[in-house]
Amino acid sequence: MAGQKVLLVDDEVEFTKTLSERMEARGIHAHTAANGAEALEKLDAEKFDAIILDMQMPGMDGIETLRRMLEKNPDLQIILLTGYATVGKSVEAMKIGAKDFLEKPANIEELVEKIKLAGNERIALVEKRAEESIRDILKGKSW
Amino acid sequence: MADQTDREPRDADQALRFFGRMSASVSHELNNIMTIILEKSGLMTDLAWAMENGRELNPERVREIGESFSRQARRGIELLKHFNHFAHSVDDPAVTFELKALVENIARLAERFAALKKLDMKTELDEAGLNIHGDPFAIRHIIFSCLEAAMAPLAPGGVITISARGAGGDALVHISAAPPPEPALPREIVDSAIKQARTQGAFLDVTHGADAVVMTLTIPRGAC
Repeated sequence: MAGQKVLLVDDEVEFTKTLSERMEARGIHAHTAANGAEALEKLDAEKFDAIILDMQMPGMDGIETLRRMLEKNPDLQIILLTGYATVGKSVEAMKIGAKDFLEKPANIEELVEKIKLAGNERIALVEKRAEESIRDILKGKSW
Repeated sequence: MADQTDREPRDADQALRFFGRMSASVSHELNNIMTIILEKSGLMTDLAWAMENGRELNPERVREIGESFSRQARRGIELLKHFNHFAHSVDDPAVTFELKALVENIARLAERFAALKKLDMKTELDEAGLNIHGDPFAIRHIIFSCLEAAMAPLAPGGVITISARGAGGDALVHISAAPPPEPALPREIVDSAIKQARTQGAFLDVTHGADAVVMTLTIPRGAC
């Protein structure tokens, strides 16, 4: 699990700063973004094993951010963090393609466990895509 | 002011929805505050574990965490103080109250709605008191409806300004949206606010200027 990289997206900067410090202590490299637009920019620049996304943010909300992230890369492993007021929206988010959700405040060990699972799933997806790609190349060959 | 028995049943439904929206918003913000406090306390535990395992701890880190606890607790206390005033506004529908304190109260509670739309909210109130006799909850509801109407069409970066002043036997509350929003203010919310104002013997007017759309709520000061 060591070396996994996550992106924490939440407008409560003090929260993301503290959570990232706690994650670093558990061997996870945590990057932060204070809104959906910043998160999308970071996704263009780097690859993440998992994204922890708050549902209610100023400007682009969690659902819109989720939609745009999955448009960029449908294989992204996105875990939602939601306050109790947005559980209905979380169900909608799962239908759109979020992998999981946790209610705020989340237990750090549970969150780390979900990041670990998301990371494993991402690796499995990358391997599957590589295999499909090789199969397509082989199909195109004339022998 | 109209007798409260004049209210139609729909007003009671709207009032309950308004109370529910405020309660949901405040509880959501409090949950965010408690989440930060919980993470900070988790960080303290992590640091204690690190110290037990031989790591040196900079006292500045402990001070920073303590200041964060204090900052978040103060944020929560301030929010709860405003929410408590708001909750008590339903106690008596015919009471003398200070309008500027009421405006400040509802503006503070509406800040989160503005922040979610990335709008800037300004409150312009001078020191002089402005006493009104009436229903403090109903007046809050009308002002919030105006704020909601002003916020709905504004693009991020827009500015909502709320001010209050006396004018003879009346009190005036101005809620402005700048730049003038396009599309216009939502008719349904404005009409509902006009109707609510009438039930309180007040009057709501909307003017479209070059720099802003301004809603002016004129409230008779009653026995004050």
